[in-house]
Amino acid sequence: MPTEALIQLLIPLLLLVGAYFIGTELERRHYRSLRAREHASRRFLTVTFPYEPPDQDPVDVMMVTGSVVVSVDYFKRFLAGLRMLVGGRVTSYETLLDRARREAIMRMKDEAKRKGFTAVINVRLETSRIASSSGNNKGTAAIEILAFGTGVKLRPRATAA
Amino acid sequence: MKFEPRLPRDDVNVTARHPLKEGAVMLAGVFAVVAILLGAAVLVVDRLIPYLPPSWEASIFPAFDAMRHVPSLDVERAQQEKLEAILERLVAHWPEHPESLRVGLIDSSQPNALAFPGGLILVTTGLMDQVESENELAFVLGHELGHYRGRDHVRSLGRGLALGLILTAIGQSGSAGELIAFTGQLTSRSFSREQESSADTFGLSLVVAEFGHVEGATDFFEKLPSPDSSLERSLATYLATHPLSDARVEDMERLSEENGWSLRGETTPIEADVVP
Repeated sequence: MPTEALIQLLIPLLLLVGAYFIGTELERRHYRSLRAREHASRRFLTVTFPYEPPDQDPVDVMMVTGSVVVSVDYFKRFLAGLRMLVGGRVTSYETLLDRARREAIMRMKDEAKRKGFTAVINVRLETSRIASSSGNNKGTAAIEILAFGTGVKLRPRATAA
Repeated sequence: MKFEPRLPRDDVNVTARHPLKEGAVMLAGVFAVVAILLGAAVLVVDRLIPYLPPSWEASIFPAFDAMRHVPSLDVERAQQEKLEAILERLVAHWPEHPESLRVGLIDSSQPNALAFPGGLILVTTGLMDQVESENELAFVLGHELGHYRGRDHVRSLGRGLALGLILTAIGQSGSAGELIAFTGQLTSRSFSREQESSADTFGLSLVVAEFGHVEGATDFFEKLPSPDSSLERSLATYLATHPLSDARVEDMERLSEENGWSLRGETTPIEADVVP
């Protein structure tokens, strides 16, 4: 009996410790990669208003998208579970969603660049739950972050002759 | 309009707070609340017990008599008679005992004895096969009588209700909730270990009243396995519902010394009576 109880206690603890170290390392690497890619593409025009710059003419337009599906690790979910008891900011999910949004935008920019566009205008973000852990606590919680906008190929406007 | 390249900042949507620190603070808080609720439940039940007569226990718990193993063999009939005889002798030293005390056998090879709400004590056939003296059996029965004296079923019920409330409240919080529930259950076992200790004390006092000494009473504990290393010990102590066997033997020895009970004396072997 004590051995069973011990295993019951040890398995979640090991999962927590493992998830913490693995999750922290993966997050660190992802942030490093994100910063590098964001820096490399910082000159690529990405705006939320639905017009091209006034001094440029669009020669080609098309919708571009980038999407990311994220789930939480055991440790983050554990913290969020505690948070559900005491209330307050669910900080353990903040980095996760921050990374997902930035990654989705990066993917959208990448797609736009690949298709030869020079800017993305009218950028929007959508979040949808695609799997839920509510109810029996057994499922895997996952959400999709979708970034989309209008890719435009711009050409400087010819001044009226 | 001018476009100037800028980079997103890391610290806008992310709170700078170390996850480990945050987890530790929340866990400590939640554990404290669980401990306070459990402690409050124990206190409330303690105050209520004088108002709840033993007959009330029998009326709220189901009847367990269906679990009794009806003696069919001669050996079992002899065991049943022996149990009844010893119970009667012990109860003679406890004037305010509940009216409805009964004792019976339960068919299981695990050596164990159980006190059910309502006054039914069941002793496993496995235990009956292992006990060697009346003194040993008397202490086992005395221990179970101690549970009735401590009104331990009502206490466990109160703890169970408090734990149930806590579990319902945290039922939706996933693995964190499970861990808290598990720790709550284990912590409530420390209350149960206290009950076991006081049941031991009462059981031993009945044995002394009947036999005049404690010789043979704790033999049963020596038949139970005991952990070896100190880590195993501390874990086992935390996880178990009963105190560790050797600790119980030591407690009984100390108790005997304090009360000036005789440690040595004649034991009455049981085999001669049981086996025809």
